[in-house]
Amino acid sequence: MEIRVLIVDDEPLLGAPLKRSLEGAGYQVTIARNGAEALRTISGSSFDLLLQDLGLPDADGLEIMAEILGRIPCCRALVMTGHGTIEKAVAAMKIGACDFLTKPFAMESLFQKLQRITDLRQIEHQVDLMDLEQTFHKSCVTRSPIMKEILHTAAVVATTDATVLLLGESGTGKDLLADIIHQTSRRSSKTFIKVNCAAIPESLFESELFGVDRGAFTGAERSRSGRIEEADQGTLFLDEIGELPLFLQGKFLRVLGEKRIYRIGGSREYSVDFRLIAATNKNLLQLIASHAFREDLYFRINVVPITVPPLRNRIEDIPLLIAYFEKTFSNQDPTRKKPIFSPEALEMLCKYHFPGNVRELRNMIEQLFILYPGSNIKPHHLSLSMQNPVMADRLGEGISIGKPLRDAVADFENRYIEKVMESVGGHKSKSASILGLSRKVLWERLKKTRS
Amino acid sequence: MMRKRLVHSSKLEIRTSTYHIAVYAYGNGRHSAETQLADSTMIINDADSLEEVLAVHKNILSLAVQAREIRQQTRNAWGWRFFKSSRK
Repeated sequence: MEIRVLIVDDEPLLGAPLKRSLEGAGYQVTIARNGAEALRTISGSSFDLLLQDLGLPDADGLEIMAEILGRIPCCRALVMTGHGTIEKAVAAMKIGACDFLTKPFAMESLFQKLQRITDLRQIEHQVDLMDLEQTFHKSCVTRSPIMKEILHTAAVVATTDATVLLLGESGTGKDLLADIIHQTSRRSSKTFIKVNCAAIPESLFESELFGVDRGAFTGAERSRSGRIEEADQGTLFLDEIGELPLFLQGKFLRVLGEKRIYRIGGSREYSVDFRLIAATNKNLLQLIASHAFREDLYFRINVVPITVPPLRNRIEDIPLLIAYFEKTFSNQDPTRKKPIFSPEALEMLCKYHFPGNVRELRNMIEQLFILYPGSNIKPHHLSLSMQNPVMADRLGEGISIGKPLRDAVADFENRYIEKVMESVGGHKSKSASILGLSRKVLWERLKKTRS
Repeated sequence: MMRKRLVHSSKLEIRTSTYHIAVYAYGNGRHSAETQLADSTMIINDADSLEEVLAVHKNILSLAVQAREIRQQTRNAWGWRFFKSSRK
């Protein structure tokens, strides 16, 4: 692990040689010449160690140190003081400094103190990471080795401000992972703003993201902040980023580069500091090739890509997830008995390709809970819930070409209703529940069809 | 995009590979650090100063490389599984 050191010292004669020596010893060093520069530096970066001179030209060194330790709680401080300022060093220790050095000092004593602090820091870092990983494992139900590696990456990335691109099919849990990354990041106490790019009409996209100033267009009677502004200090999660309209991609790219925005119709500039998590189930490289997605934006969002595997590629998780969803639905309605899965039904589920992934499994368990409480679940109970292509083919069999679409759709609907009725042994309430119809509407449909 | 000027160039070794880091300054004072990880893969980070962007970029680079390695492993594992299931 590379240790990041921030030296806050206004003496160029000390700062530059100190930087060289520390870099020579493998530390990653940044120098700030005054308090303002130090605060600017920490706004975009995190540090493990602060080497702080208490006598600064523009601010009280103690106040700056307190501010830095407040903003980066995991940072450890070593104070450098001149002779006669021991009281200040003691005050610094009370604020949170680990140790102090009296100027002038030998590099050897600095390295000894730094080594002691970095050893301690590394142990703390490992413990933090273990805690984070535990949080991830508690939030994600998995025993798959690939998922465990992915969760480890996510836990590490959560400790940084890196932009994350979550890839994977619909229903694999990308939004859950985004949420956990935010919850375990240093931004967890701030807002987590989720924007589903596929759900916003193109005409409203710009105002939704960037906000509007009063009078920007007819109907804009009040100024309103956009989602990017709302995510300031927190995390912005752009779900389905492949759907971001091309005309806005350039504008969003500028926001990422400059961390400043203008509301529509506004002339005031707003600074924004957010962590971006983007997600998509589309192949962005293909979108780039078809000129539907900007390559320069892709390079900025694809910093740490995490691919969440589809459920069919981690079948070892299926029994675990079934148990988890059963427990969830039991807790929601303790009066309802859990359905019991037969070994054949479990085997059938493990062989199923789950096009809708974890979301589909969850819906399936919920449906079985409603339809067959306390029953022994056999394969025939599952067949209807599965998006079985064979069954879909059978439903489509015998459709003659030449009918108007309306009649063809009506034919298909009738056949589907009959298939559902057949699968539940003619039980109307159960059928209505599967079909998403009221019992009355189903009864009327059946009456009409059979007449 | 605004015109950019190369202000820094360095190399960083991560495990057995060496990665080139180029930092550009823009007219508005912002800086971006770029690294080409593979033929069609580049990562870009932005910050206010050269030192800041370099620190952020170096910190994230190893994670970016590691994430891609895991992605590759995942693909291999899936490929293997598809192959296995298609033989059944």
